[in-house]
Amino acid sequence: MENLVNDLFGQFTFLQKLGYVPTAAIVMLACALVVLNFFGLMSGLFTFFERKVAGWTNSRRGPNRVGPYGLVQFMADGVKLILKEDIIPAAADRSIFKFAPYLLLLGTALSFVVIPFGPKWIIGDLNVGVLYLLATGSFTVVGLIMAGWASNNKYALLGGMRSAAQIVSYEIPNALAILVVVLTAGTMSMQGIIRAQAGGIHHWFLFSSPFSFLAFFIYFISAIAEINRVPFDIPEAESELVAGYNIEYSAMRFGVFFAAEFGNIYVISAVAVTCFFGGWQVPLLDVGDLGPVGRGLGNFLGRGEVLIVLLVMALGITMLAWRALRAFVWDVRRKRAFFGSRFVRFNSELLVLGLLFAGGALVLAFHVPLRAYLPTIYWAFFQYLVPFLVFFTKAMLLSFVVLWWRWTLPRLRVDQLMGVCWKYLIPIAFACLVGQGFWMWFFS
Amino acid sequence: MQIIKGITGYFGNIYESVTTISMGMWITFKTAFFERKVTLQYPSHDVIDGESKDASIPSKKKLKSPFEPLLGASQQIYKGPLNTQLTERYRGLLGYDELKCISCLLCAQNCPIDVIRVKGVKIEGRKGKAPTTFRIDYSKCMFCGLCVEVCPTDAVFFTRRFEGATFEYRTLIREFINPELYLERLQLAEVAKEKAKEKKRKKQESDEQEQ
Repeated sequence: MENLVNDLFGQFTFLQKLGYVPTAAIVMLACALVVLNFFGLMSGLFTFFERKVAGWTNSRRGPNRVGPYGLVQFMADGVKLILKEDIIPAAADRSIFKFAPYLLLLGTALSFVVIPFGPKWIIGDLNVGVLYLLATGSFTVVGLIMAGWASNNKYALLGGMRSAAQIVSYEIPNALAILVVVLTAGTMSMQGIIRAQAGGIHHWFLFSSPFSFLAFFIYFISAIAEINRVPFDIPEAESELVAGYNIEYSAMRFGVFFAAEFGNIYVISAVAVTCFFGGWQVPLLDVGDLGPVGRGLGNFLGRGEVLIVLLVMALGITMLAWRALRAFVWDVRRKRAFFGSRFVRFNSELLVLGLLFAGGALVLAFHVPLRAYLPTIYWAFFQYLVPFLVFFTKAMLLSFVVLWWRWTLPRLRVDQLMGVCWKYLIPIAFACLVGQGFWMWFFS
Repeated sequence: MQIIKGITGYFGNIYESVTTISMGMWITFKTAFFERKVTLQYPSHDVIDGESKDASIPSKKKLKSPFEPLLGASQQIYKGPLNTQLTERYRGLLGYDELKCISCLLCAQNCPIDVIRVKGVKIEGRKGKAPTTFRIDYSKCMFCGLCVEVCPTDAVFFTRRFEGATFEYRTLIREFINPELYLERLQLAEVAKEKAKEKKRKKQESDEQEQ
């Protein structure tokens, strides 16, 4: 956050005229807005992604009607949830009933404060970042118990009680696994942990030692249990408890529960990426903050700006020609008139490409000095966009594993659930912690 | 001995869970990315009654999921018109062959909700009665099949058509005999009546002569 404020303050003169404190306030508000929207978008997209994965694993196609590849499906669902009637049971504890889902959402949203998006892109790089994450994760218990109690329903109460037992138990192996990472990195700050994994894939904590390798699996299993995902979703076991803690909830309050749940998937994947997969570090490359590669690519791009413009234009023309040809063949085969033909309907890219074409022509004609803007563009690109994309890709791959488990594994029984935690995960986590200590003593 | 058993049991459990979970994950992964999808994307990617609908002919590009080309999963096979894949005794919309119908009214009498309305007239050169009205109200029909079972000449039968949705309620009432045929039948019936009267008169006359 401070880095970002300082960077922007140094880059733009109009912010300097405004003063430091207002700048910081503006940046904070903007960050809050961006992160909350990112959170909302992620949880929305995860509902879509989950349904898609469910479809694939059942040999179906999943939602593909609303928008391209069904991507806007979650918006339709959201609109539907907002428009529905919000029913509060007469005997419910109204204030707690109303507040519980938002508490859950708060816990998830607060975790986004310490999740890094890039080397400079983090809301608050706390020096106790990982500890903070464990603390915010505990909001879930409170929210679920409140929901279960306030519903005045026995199923809901049972769900809440189960969630308490489960989450409190699984926080122990979770914390122990993260402790292995903290021990290795020597810091609790998220960026510090990522920086400690610099220098290629064998420096990632997943591969750096057998004990942290095991710790990853312990972390991942217990994190899934903590967010009540399927192999461990006994708080909402529909075969026993109907729907568990959220049985009495309807409309958007129900939606908020699920927004929190799906947001949590991203949170746990992001934490796993940070702690074990090298965060925004690019695999197979030792690039620090991507400086050398950025500079090399920048020089290359700087020399050939005209070449690049020509290349983009050529690509655009080829794409356009191919699309148009396909559509034209379709029309001719079916003897369609010009209006109502695919040639007209499916070539909306025409406009975009036309604009690109015009822009390229302008650049070529007047030779706009692109070179002057290049440093700023590269700065933004390599400091923010590339690390973010790397981090995001890793997190999404891990999230896919979470969804994949949901559609593979059956639910555990309550006693099995406790057995997995206390008999297996916790002893192994302790062994990992001790083993990692010895490993570090021997090898460094 | 007990301790060794316990230890092997403990690690055996871990080993078993790891292997079984990875086996299950491989199965779902295989299904998700390497196997053919069973979904028929009916109105947009199918053909009904042999005629292609608007976007009916499956374009290869549209059928692929974004991951399929990467992972080598084959395209969805085009299974032909949907109505050829229906079961043998599929109860689609009711069909009617007016050439076979003898207007015996059995279908109308057997219909539990009075969906069918039949009227017939006697005309020359035709066994039984010739139908002048055959009307089915699809808005009430529940496709029980009693009319089909009871029809002695198989004039009423099930087709393989199933797209009965319309925008207006009254279009669900289906007339199977068009007005021209109706009028023609009435005229023929008049002719037949007159002929019958003549026959009767002649018979009466011949009877009187005999007397």
